[in-house]
Amino acid sequence: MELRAFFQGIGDVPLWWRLAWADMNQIYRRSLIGIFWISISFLMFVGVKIFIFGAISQMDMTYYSLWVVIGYAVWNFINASVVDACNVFIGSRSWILGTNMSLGTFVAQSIMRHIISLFFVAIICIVAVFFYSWEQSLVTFTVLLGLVFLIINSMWVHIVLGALCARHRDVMHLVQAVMHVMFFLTPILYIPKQLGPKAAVLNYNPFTHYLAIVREPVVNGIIPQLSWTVVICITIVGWFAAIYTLKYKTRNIAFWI
Amino acid sequence: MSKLLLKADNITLSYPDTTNSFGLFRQEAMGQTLALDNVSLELFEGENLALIGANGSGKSTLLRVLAQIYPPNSGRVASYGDIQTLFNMGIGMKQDLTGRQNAVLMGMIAGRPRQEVLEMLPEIIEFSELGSVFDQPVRTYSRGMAMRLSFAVATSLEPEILLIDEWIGAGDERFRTKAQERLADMVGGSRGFILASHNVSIVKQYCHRAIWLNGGKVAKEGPVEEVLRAYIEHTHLNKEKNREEVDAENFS
Repeated sequence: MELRAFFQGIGDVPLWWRLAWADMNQIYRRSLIGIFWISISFLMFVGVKIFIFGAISQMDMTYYSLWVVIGYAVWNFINASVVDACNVFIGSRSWILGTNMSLGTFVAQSIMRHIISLFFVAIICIVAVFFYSWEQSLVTFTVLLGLVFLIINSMWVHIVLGALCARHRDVMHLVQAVMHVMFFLTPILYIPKQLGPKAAVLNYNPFTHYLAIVREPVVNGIIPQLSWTVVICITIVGWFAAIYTLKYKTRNIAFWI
Repeated sequence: MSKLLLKADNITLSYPDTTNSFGLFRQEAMGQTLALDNVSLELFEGENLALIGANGSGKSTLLRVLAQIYPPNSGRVASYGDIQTLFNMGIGMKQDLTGRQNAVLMGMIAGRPRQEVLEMLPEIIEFSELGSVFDQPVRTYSRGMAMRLSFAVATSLEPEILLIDEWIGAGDERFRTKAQERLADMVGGSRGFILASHNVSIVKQYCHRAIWLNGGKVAKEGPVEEVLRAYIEHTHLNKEKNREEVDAENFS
């Protein structure tokens, strides 16, 4: 019952599409450059990082630049997904209490916002690959599958964290604190081999693998098998948690928000 | 016998304690008061039912149970038609979208295809009397204007069941008359509405049958005049009682 209602909400594409665009318009309302601020702020961030960290390390600048640009693009999506997931139901309080909209609508709306952001950041990534004329092969197409997996994972994260944070508000603050730390524990600004033997630790960080499935094909021209295995396993476990949450927990969300 | 639109059986609901997460630092349990205690109601085609009661008597909670927003602890709700809600003002509106965009959004939230909602727009503009303001962002609207918009959209969608909460009081006399006519039309068709209010004159004006909720229980149910008389008597008695208590305290 709850499950069906949820997926009906996911299925109502025109509605969440409109709601997501309304959110984006609200953020960039009356600004001259509008939604392209996403691209500009991304460009500024990676530009400065490449300038500073490129100077202090003895690496091939082209390789390092692409590493940072693509890694940070994916991180942006993951970070926004996880942090916003905490707020997905709490932030829709007045809609949940005023209408009997499906919770799936709010999840899809939130993820659509992140996809729109990712799109404007991806433009920069594609320009960068062409700018450096970094050689690509057919392997690059697995990036698309990587993105699909990022979205599928974003969904279960929204369901689980959205419900958990609505009930236990401490979790939201915990997640924010953890994500700040994870930014440095994930190889975004540095390359694992720079850490020497300590790099092995990075393999225990799931975010490393989520980055790798998108970044490795572009930067190194390989399909990272270990990372794919980890990602697929987490996806399965995560969706079990999500279905459990939908079946037994979400019916009380209206009381918690 | 006309057709049943909405039926609630023995609804009991208490709000879960959500003061903090893990039961740490919890204050002494508040004695788990019931927000709704064994409430049943039925709404038939062509009926206009009032829920009357003081603030905190469970009217809004009951409407949310009927709209299937709150799951009750026990009892069940069955609806035989589309439900539209007119709850707190501004709900279901995006402040930065125009009246027109919000109207389309509200229609889509109600599950109507966009094209169908677009066809309803001329009528919504006419009824809401928003004119050129219709294309201004809703954040510039006054309370009354926002109310006219939500009312126009909710009724244009022609739901079988309309649930209205503490709501009609706003708006000027002219619009209230129009709203009343429209609600009368609704009841004239094969539809019905439930109006929750603590305002006796509004209830008398809009409804024929009433349910009086007191502390989450149905205190009385029946023709509007009878229920209102009992309700007024009760509130009046309470006032007297309070006055006596105050007098007694002053003596000691």
